[in-house]
Amino acid sequence: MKQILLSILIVLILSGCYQNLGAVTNKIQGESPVVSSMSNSQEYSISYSDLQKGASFVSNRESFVFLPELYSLINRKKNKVRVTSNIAKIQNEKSATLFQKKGGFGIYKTGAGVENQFMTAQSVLNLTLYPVVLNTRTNQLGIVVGNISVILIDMNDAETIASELDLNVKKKYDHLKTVYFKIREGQDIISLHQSLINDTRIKSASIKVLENFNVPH
Amino acid sequence: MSNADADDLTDYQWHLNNTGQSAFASENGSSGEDINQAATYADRITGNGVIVAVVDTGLEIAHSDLNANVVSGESWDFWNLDSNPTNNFDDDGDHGTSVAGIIAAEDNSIGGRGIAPNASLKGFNFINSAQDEQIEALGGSDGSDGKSPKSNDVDIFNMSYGTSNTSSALIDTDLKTHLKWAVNNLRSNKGAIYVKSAGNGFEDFGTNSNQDNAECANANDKGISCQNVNMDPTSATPWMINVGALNADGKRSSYSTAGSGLWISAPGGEYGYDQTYGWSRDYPITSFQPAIITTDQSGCDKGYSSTVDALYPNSAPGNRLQDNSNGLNGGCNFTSTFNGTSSAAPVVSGGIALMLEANPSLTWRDVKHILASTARKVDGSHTGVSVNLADGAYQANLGWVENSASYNYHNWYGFGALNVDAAVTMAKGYSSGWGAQTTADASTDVNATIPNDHKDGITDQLTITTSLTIEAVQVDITVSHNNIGNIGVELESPNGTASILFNILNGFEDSIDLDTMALISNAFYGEDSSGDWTLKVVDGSSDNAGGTLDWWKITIYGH
Repeated sequence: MKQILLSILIVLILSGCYQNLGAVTNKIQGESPVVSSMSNSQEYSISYSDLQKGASFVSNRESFVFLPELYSLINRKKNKVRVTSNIAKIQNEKSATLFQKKGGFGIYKTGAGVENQFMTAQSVLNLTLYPVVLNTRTNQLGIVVGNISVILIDMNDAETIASELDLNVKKKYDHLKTVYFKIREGQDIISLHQSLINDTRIKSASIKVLENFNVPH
Repeated sequence: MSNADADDLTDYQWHLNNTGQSAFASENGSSGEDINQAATYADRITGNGVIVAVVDTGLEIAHSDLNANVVSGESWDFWNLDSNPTNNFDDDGDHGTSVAGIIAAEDNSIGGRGIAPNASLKGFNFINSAQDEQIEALGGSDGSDGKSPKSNDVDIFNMSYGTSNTSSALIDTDLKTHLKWAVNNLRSNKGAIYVKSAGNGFEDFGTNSNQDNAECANANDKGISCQNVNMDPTSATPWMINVGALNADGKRSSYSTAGSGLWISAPGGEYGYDQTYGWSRDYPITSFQPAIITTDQSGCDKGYSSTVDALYPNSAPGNRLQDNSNGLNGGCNFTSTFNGTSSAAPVVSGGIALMLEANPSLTWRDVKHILASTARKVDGSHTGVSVNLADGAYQANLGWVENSASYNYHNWYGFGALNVDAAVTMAKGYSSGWGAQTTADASTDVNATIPNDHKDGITDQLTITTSLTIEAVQVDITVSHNNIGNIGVELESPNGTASILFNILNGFEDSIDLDTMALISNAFYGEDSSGDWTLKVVDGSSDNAGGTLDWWKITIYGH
């Protein structure tokens, strides 16, 4: 749906920001203006190479590395005031500083004085914060919400395996012989993934990464 | 009619019956450029007994022009895990509610009419979820666990969404396995039907992150699509019916993403603004060409049509229907500025619903075959786009190509415009009797340099020994290159038909390498597969980025 683009474009034109159509549309067209419309927030550029790197893993034939200085959360317009305020608190700053938008998620960088190292989901100030990874081939960010897709030899083993590893069974797809396990907050997804790979009841296991978001056309 | 409801807007809906009306925009359309539905409507074929899922941002299940068609209790909200996906967090329009109206708005005295006004609707707001529930929304769930939708009884999945990735991406392996299963098992083994929007990336990708802007200047300069249908890995599968958008003059909408993955085109419109309502003529003409009239989330305090724009209070509504200043949109429950390939896909979904009412036995492949066989050639004089490279002119976008099976194909339009009456007529009593779809493939390492700025590029051949009637051709390719935006990929069939699977000057300009990227082409439909297939890879730039064709594989889907 393209109409929001034109509305924004017209506002920019009226406000004297219009340079040329191509340049403006490249900048402003998007899936949702939620984050960019937050007060006291801004988007800035930083080289990924300057960020700390954490553990790495392979998923869907792509290689990912955790960026523990970054975290993400779902931005919904109705909550923007509370979210913005709480992010600022988390960052120990006056304002929430957006690192990048990613679908319905906002990605933020931990502020000065914050020691959190985001490699697992955490609940802070009623917000669920998810870890962020970098696809080393595409150089794009992804979000790990804590799901692991597992193809089982026998679907009847799903609950047993979940119990043994203290995982939640999020969804079972019998027709795919696949179960989605969801890790609990604080669990180490890398070691759990490795445990699943090593399990003889399992054909394959893959950490799910949200990298390319579907947006309305 | 309730005071809170609009007048009958059907006569303004140019996509149903184009009489040259403006649909509240400044410009008129061209008479006759519509979906040709009159005979089907007169026969009262209206989508009865067909379930269409709107897999989208939401669905206002109580909307006055939709509610009678919504399957009670069987939509799904992935946020609250209940059956009401009505948008309650975005005041600026609910995309899914507008998509739903194009498919199945009721045939009554208020608002517009859907293509299939008696089809049944389910809404799954997958796009607004954390996005790993796509399988549940696409037929992979029976709803028995109380935590997911009942999607496995849906006939048609409308997918007016896609990715805007700016480097090659691989389809999620779970989703790929599911889609292959669904076209073989759902609908009592006749197969689920997936209708997907091609994208709005002809001129720009719509990404707004400082980290992944697509570079479209070169494509725009030459009149080539910046985004390619094959860039979205879900689109680059043989199971999708990818839909491009047409404007009210019957030509490609300004934004409609092109590529060999397209199957068909349908009205999607332009922007629908009224120049006389406070807008300068300095804006592109497309701003003032008709858009699509459809349902909008109810109420004048929310939706695309409203008296107050919460986000952009200084901008006037697009036209006089949008704020009901013409008195035709009481309640602000309808919009006349909806557009995008998001609008075109539900037009096709609605058309397919009519085909399935006419013949519920159609398989997913029957549906694709009928659409291709009955599509109407549009913009017939378009001869493609030529670009000058160092050693001469290179045809970067082909015009209409007639293949050896007599199908016409164009990367801007697929097989052409949806032709409802012809499709429904053909559907009645049709059975292909093709049996199971089979495949044949071949692959090879190449490891050869792609010459820079050279129209002949590098070529390589693979031989398919199996004789199949082609339904789709997929090329998987690995290219090492420092600027994929330079790279074009062409394929020539044993019958001499050419198809451009990936165009030069594309929006992957800032990315490196294609890693087993899947590229689908529908241009060879109906041809025989046996013989030598020739791949050509072209570097369309003089920037000396350099690179090699490392490996490729061809897979024929057919019977």
